[in-house]
Formats: sequence, structure tokens, C-alpha cells
Amino acid sequence: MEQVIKTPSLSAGRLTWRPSRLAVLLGIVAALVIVALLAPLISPYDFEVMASGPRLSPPSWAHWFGTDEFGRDIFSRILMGTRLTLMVGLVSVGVSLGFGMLIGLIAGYCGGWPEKLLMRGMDVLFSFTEIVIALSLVAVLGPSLENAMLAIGIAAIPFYARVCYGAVLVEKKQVYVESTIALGASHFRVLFVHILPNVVPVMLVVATIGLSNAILATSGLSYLGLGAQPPSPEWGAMLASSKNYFQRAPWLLMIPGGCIVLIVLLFNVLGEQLRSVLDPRRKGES
Amino acid sequence: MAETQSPVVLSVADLSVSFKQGASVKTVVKAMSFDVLAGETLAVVGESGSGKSVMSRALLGLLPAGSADVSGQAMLSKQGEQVELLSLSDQSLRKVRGNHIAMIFQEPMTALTPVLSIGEQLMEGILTHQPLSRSEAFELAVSMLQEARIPEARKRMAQYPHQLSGGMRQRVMIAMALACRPRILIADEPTTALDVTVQAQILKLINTLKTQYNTAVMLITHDMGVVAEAADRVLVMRRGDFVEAGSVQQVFSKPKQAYTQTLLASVPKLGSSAKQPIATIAENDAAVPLFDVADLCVQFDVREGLFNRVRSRVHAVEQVSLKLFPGETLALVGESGSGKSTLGRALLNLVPSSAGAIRFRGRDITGWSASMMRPLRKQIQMIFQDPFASLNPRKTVGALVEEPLKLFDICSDSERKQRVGELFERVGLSADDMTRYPHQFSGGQRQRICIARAIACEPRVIVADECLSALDVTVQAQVIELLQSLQQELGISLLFISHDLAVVEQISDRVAVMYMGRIVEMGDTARVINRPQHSYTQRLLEAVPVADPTKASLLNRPLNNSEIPSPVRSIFEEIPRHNMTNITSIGEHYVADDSAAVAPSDVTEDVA
Amino acid sequence: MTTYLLQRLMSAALTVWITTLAICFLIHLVPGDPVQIMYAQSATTSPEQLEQIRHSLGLDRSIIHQYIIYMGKLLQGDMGVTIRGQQSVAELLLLRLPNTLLLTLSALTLAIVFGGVSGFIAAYKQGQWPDKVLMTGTVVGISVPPFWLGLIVLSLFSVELGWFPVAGQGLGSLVLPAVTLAACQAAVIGRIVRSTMIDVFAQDYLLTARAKGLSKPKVLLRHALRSGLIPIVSVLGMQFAYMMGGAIVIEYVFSWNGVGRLAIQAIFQRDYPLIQGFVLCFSMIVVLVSVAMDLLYAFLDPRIRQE
Repeated sequence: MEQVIKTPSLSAGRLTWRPSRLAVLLGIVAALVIVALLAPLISPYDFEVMASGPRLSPPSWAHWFGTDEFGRDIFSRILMGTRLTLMVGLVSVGVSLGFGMLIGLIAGYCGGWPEKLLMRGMDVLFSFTEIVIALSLVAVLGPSLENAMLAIGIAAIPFYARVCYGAVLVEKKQVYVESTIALGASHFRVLFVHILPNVVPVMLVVATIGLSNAILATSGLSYLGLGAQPPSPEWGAMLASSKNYFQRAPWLLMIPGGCIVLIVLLFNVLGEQLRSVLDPRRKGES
Repeated sequence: MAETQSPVVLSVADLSVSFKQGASVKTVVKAMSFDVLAGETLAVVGESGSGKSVMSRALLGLLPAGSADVSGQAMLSKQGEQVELLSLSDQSLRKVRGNHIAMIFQEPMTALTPVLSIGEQLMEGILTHQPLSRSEAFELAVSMLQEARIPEARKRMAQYPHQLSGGMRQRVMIAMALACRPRILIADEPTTALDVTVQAQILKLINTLKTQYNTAVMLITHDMGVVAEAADRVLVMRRGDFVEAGSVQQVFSKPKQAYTQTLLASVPKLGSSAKQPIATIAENDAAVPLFDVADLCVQFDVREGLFNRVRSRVHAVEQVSLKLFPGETLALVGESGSGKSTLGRALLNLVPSSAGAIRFRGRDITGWSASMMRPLRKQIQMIFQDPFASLNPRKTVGALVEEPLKLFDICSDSERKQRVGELFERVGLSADDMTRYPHQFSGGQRQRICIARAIACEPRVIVADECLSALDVTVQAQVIELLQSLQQELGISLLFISHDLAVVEQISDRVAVMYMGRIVEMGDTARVINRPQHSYTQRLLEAVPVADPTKASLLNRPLNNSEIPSPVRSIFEEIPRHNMTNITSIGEHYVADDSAAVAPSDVTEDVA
Repeated sequence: MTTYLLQRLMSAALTVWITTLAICFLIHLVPGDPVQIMYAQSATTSPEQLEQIRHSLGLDRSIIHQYIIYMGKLLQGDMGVTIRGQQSVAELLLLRLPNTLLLTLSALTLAIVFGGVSGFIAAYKQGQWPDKVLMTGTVVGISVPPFWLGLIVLSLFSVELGWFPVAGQGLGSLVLPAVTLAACQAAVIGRIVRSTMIDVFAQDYLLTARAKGLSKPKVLLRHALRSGLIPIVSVLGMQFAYMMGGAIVIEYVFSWNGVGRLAIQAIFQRDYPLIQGFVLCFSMIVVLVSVAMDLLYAFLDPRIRQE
């Protein structure tokens, strides 16, 4: 199954600083990371303590985001959940990016039988679709947050490999690669000094948007009960554990879900912004 | 020939076009005024960025409505009435487009919709403007294809663009444009993407049909040769400004403006600028050639069918033998697909050769691997056609020029920066430019950077692959000058790959003409160009437009309408032995023995 | 074209074969004893019974032997029996499959219509307000977790307003899951269509078409859309696969009796034969759809059709 994957060629774009939007977005990401790291220090209550307030109380000054069916403070749980969410994103994207780029670089640059073998394999995995790979792995390994994020990371490897492979092929065809070889540079130098810096921006964009997908997928698995297990403050698991109370306490539905939307939106917009900063259409500008 | 009393079909006054780019406004065409007379060819000439294409599109309202701001007047006279084009609504303008004013474009490969058949595309234009039935439109389309000298016109109607060659597609475009007998045909660089022999055919076709239908042609081009051959009047533009206008004879013999004079002086003219050959080299048999190539073949497998078996091969380079001596310039000339670029790459072992031998300074380097070649690359460098593409966009140009010095450990770390600075100055740039990136330079400057990079390790040979063809003609002249002075100073041999015979004549000592992977004629430049013996060389030379209206004769000569055959051959086909004979006793002038077989005379078309 | 199709069919067959290999060996990736894990929930099973089950599942034989037995049964349409209830896996899947296909296909139709139209409009009005509005909408669309959207839609329209049944398999119950699934995919399709059409709108041949004096609808539909359809179709096959994946979660949220919901129950119950059956069935559908899309692609693209 050879699907055509559009590989954005970012070869000509150079990072020109656009302080306004990109800086704001990166600032928000930095703030999120700080919140995640300091979560235990800045949360008003212990996220695990039950009855830190009345059960199912709506948002108030005492409990900004209200309390859940056990009287736990949702704001504190959301803060701890931020930590889990960012970790999930980083670990699974790390797994997919690491293996995917390795496979893509080898297949793209070497050509010949490594290319055929690796990309053929990726094609087969690709036609399983990510969710089925992830579900099968969870079925085999057992449901837990660690297994879920690992499974989602592994499931996305074929996608990253294909994008990286495509980007390497695009660069390999560029005249500057031939001109560098003609200059007398070694394959190692061509691949790592010349091609890689042109592939990294492409992968950076893909990985940023990939963070969104990983977070979405993990929260979905957790909601199904195949990822984080209650009483974990993972946002998907929070939704799963209070699903019988949505009618009486809509904030139990709206707040964790809204947080997922916002964080996913953040990384999607950041990815788009990076893409436009590294725009290939600058090519030919003189 | 247009008479002075010919009626005006299009009268343009004060035409300005500007584009909004965010907050700033960039004016691309500034207050142009000119007339197009019935039945004449008006050439609009200018280098890139002169605004000539934008101007032609503005006339038909084809610029993006949101960002382009068009002002001025353009009066079209049709059937006795006057219409002002620029103030027309889109709906009324549609009745003019393709009907009274038609247009053809530079890139025939992308100008036709890939998913619609040739017939559909021809017929829809006819049906839009003429009250005909589908079958009548079909017949008209077929006859237009025949008028455009397309063989088997009826069969082409059902074919798709990808099944036709570039030259054929441009003929289809012409047939399509002229189907409604427009008063004006705007031809925007119609032959720039085509080979020189095909260019001659297309120019002649446009001229024949122009006379036949009494259509005025607005020929937009950068090529002074094409202007001299095809135009009645000339309009010179530069950066959106009017420079001068007049009859072809006037502008070429007595250019009034300095810019026109520079433009004309920069055009290399075939048969007028022969380089003095370096006498000591070619005749000195004792000299050891840098390159000595014998019977070199390069073939690419074509895999087809269910199991990807090799059933045929592209014979890109076929039984080529040549020598390159120290200090000389050998030009490889040919049209696209002739194998000249592949040959250049094969010499450097950048593509694997399939038979024959390559010797470099006496050493057999045939089939050397990349790592074996690496130390040798210090002595053999290469310059490419597109200077922007051949520079890594994410590196500073200083780092790029420094790279060869690092690779071959040419000087110590401390000296290196200084050496890079010297190289920049040697190619006419400033040492301060080192910290900038490739996209911050113009095309000519980028090619200078590529040259600096190539001479950094003081090579013995530079292979220059079409290194001038992406440049404007005035820039081209400067780069030629630079290459020649560097060659004199450093004693570098140049293997100059080009399709442009006039440039080749100016720069090279010897020339080898390639056709279908073979060298068909090779010898001292002056001999080959002034007294071509092989039928292909003759055809090629005849097709070159001459930038001198008094000598121009392209449109009056009988032309060979044949296309270059495909170099793909079945693996079972026997390849005949390629023999060349030296026909002179002084110096060299080799001619292939197959001269008669290459250009059968029966395809020659009569002049209309 | 025959060569093209035969190549596609061969690669599809290869994919299915590799899938069977993967499925058969999947069970050996389970850390510990799969049989024990499968029956961990029912404490009543004795060690002798476990041994018997191991034998009946063939797990006491060599891997290659197991694969041969598995393939032998599979070729006769036998996918084994479920651990809970001893039902035929093949029958169970066939019973539930029409529900999943009904949901997926109706959602896909909605998504193509809405995503396609908005992507086309956005591309045509590139940079202007319709583009900005639509593209902001799609970024939000791809950022919303489908299950959460499902929960909101369910509690709003079924529980609060009572317009649609909360669960069930009728046509009324199809509306909400199909719309939810379609909404998320429409955003993705809209973005694909937009970027494809922007590429097409920049092509020279559209200038040719306009210079001929054709009317706007002719230029946009005959020349632009028909050309853009080819790259769009080539990614649509994969979109169907994503949609099948998305349906798993949606079926669970809306209690829709499809194979996805069955699969999730199977994972909870560690019902390995059922999971294996599901994975095989799922990837066969994906492969089939992708072959169908290749056919359509070949039909649309004269460069392949004419070969």
C-alpha cells in the first residue's frame, strides 16, 4: 500500500524571528511546563485527598474548578494532570520520533535493500492504522498509563518514519547534495552536516503536531479504561471515573475535556506557526 | 511585414500595475503606453523582473483580483467598435479572452490540464465563443491541430497532455489560442522552455499562422535573438519602466538608450566572437591529457511490468571518446536529453558508467567508489546550472566556501577565514558577505559564490554544467568574463556543458556536439561552427536565432519538423559501433559516420 | 493499468499475510502466561482445566505448528471461539460488522461533503475572511477529543433535550454518533482539501483555462476540481481507516453495537481469540478500501488509465 504522503519541503526557509505569535505560544508552553513541574507546590489541596471539600460542589472561590464525586479538588487534580499530560506527550513523541527518524534516515539515504525492507515494513504497519496497533499492544501488555503512552508512541512510528523518509528523499534530490558530494565530502558529512539540518525543521513541525495527537489518543484510551486507571488525575481518566455525574455536575465533563482541547489546540497552533515560520515558499526570494 | 499605415488593434495608455504586499505597495509596471498594429509582431523585451509578463496578464484581467491594482487604459478595436479592457466587468472580459485576445505561455509542460483530453480542451474554448455544434467544434479542433502541423491530428484529440512532448504541447496551445481567430495573440516566452531546434519550429509556426489569419502577435521574450528573428517592432522594458521602442532595424542598429546598448552588447553572437585557440595544447601530442575517455557508455535500466524486470535501457551516453588537455576549454553541446550532463557526471563518477574507460592524468578511475574518488575531487570540481539549488540554504555562504578548505585540509584554521575572504574578493564579492545566507543574494552573485567554492581547492578541472543558462544576459556576460580571467590566472581546464552555441563559441577552444548520447562531431570550435559537417550539427546551427535583424533568416529557411527520437532501447537490440573520422590533417575535426542516417531529408517541411 | 492493479493487489495480499503472522504471534508477546491471564478473572478454573484450554488453543505446540493450524482454520473461515461464552468469533464479528460499516460510511459521507465544500471554499478565498473562519474552525475541530464531543452531544441532545434515544440501534440512534464522528473527520478532510486545492489553483493550466474565456464554474469544477480530486482520493483511503479507528471510541460512548465496542469488551476480558479476529477483520477492511481507492485513483488519473 503506497500512500502518497506529502512531505513539506522546508529546505529553503530560514528561521526568521517573528516575535509576536511564536514567542507568545512558546511562552505559554514554558508556563505550562513550569506549572507541571511545580504542581505539588502550587496546588491549593492535595489532589488525592478525598473530601477536601463537599462532594460535587460547583466552581467557587474555595474550589476554583469545583469538586468531584469524592469531594476532591478538581483544580489541584487538573494541575497534577498537566504533568501527566505533558509527560505522555513527550514520552510517546520521543519514542515515535527517535525510532521513526532513525528508520527514515537510514531508508532514505542508503536506498537499496534497507530502503525496500524498512519502508515495506512501515507500509504494512501503516495499513494496520495507529489505533489498532495501540489497542493490540495495550491488549497484550495490559491497561496502564505507561503502557498506553508506549503503545501510542510505537503505533505512530510508521508515520514519523514515512515523513522523515520523504523529507530525506526531497533533500537528497536537491542539487546542493550532489554539489557537496562533487566537492569531495563524505557520506557521513553529507547526511549529518547537510541533509539533517534541512530535515530537522520538518520533523520539528511534525513532532509538535504529534504532541497533540499523542495527548488526544492517550486521553481516549484512558477514557476507555485502557490507559490511566482511576484514581489517577489523568484528564481522560478523570472523565471516565465521573461519567455518571455529568448531568448533576456538568463541570466534571467540561473542565477536564476543556483542558484537553486547550492543550491540544496549543500544540496544533504552535505546529502551524512553526510551519509558517519555516515556510518553503521563501524559496527564490532574493 | 507591418506597414506603417496598419490599423491599431490595441492601444495601451498609462498602464500601471502594483501589488499590495502587506502594508507596502510595489509598482511592477509604470505608466506604459504603446500600440499594437494589425498583423504585426511586437516584441516586448526585458530581463527578469522587468514586468513584461505582468503587463500582458493585466490586459486580460488575469492577475489576482485581491492583490493587484491595475490602472490606465487599453482600447481594443473589434469589429469596428472600441472596447476599453481595463474597465470591463469580468463577465464581459471573458468574451474577449480567447476570442479577440488569446494567450500562450512559457511552460508547455504545465499549461494544459492533465486530466482532460486534448480534444476536450480545444473544443471547450471553441464552444464558449462560437455558435457551433459539438461535431462542428470537433472538426474545427482537428483542422486547427493540422494547421499547427501536428501529425495524426485526429488521433491526438483523444490523447492526454502527458502523452505529448513539450514541443507538441506548445503546438496544441497555439492551435487552441488561434481557434477563434483572435485579433491579438499574446505569446509569453513561448519558446524559452524548448530546445533550440524546436524553438525554431514554433517561431516559424507562429509566424506562418500570424500571416495566414492576420493576427497581431505580442511576443514577450528575454532573448534578443528571438526578437531579431521574429519581430517587426520592439518595446524594451526594464524594472517596469519603458526604455525605448521602435522598429527592429532601428533598435538593433541605433539603440538610443544606454540600457538597450548594454543589453545588445551582452548578447553573444554566433560566428562573431571566436576565441583564439590555445595553440600550444591541442597540437602538442606529447601533453598528457587530464581526462582521457574511451568508449564510455552510461545506461539506465527501465523497469516495467509486474515483476519490475529490466526490458529496456536508456542509452544516455553511448560510446563516447574524448580527451581534455590542461588549460583548455572543451565544450559539450547538445539539446535536452542528448546526454551531455550525464557524461559530465559520469566523468566524475557521480553516476556509474556501464562500459568504457575513464583515465584521469593517466590513472584509470573507471568505476571508482565514492570513497576512492574523494581525494581526487580536490582536483576536479563542478559548477551547476541553478546556483541557488546548489547551495545549502541553511548554511552561511562563508561556511559553504570554507567547506572545501576544511575537507582537504588546505590551510590552517587561522588562515582559513582570511583565505575565504580572498576568494570572495577574487570572484567580485565583498568579504563582508561571508555571514549572509544564499537567499540574500541575486542569481549572478550566487553563481559567483559557487565559482569561489569550486576554485577554493585550486582544482585542475572544473566541469561547468549549464552554469550560465539560469542567468540574465547582462549577468551572463559578467560571469563569462570572470570564468575566463580565472582560467587564465589559474590554468584550469574547463569542461563547459551548454546548449547555447553562441556562448560556447565565445568561451571554448574545442567543441563536441552530442546527439542521442553520442558525440557526432568534435573539433576546434571555429572549424565546427563555421564548417559543420554532420547533418545534426548543421541543423542545430541553423536553428540558432541570430541577434541581428539584417542576418536573421530563421523564418525563411525550410525547417526540419522532426523531433529528437527517444534514447530508450530494448535490451535485445544490437547497438551499432559508433565510428568517427578525422577529416582534417591540421588540428582535429572528427565527424561521425552516421551523418546521413540521423537527419532523413523526407521530413523536411516546405515553407508556407 | 492492469500492471498497476496487479501490483496493488499483490501488495494487498502481502499485507494481509503479514497481518496473519503478526496476529498469530501477538499472543506470545504477553508477559507471563496468556492462559492464566485470560482466566484470571474467573478463579474457579482448575490447573487441569487450564492445561486443557492451553491444548485447545494450541498454545502447547511450537510457534510454526500453531501458525499452520491457525492458517488452516482461517482459510475455512474459522477464527476460533470466544473465551467467554464459546461463541464463534467469525459469526460474532459478522453480526456486528454491518453496524460499524453503517456508522462509518454515513459519517464518511457527511465528512466528505462538509469537509470538501469548506476546504474548497477556504482555498478559493485563500487569505480572506471565509478562509480564516473555516480554518480556525478546523484547528479547533482537530483539537477536540472525539469521545468528549460525543459525551457533550449525548448529554445535550439525548439526556437534556431528549431529541434522540440515549442508546439503541435504530436510525434515530445513528444520527448523533455519525455526526460526532463526521465532525472530527470533516476538519481533517477540510484541511487536506484546502491545501490540495491551493496547490491546484496556483497551476499554469488554470491560467490557460481562464485565458480561453471559460466561465468561472467551468474553470473551478472542470479544470481545478477534477485535477485536485486525484491527490485527494489518494489520501481518502487512509481517512477511511482513521474513521474506522475513530468509530471504536464513538461506538463505546454511544453504546453502538459495532465491532469496535466488541473489541473493547474483548480487551477488558482478555479474550484473545476475539481480539485476534477483530484485528484481522479490521485490517482486511482497511486493505480492501485502500485497493478500491487505488482503483478509483487509476480511473481518475489518465496517466495511469492510459498505460
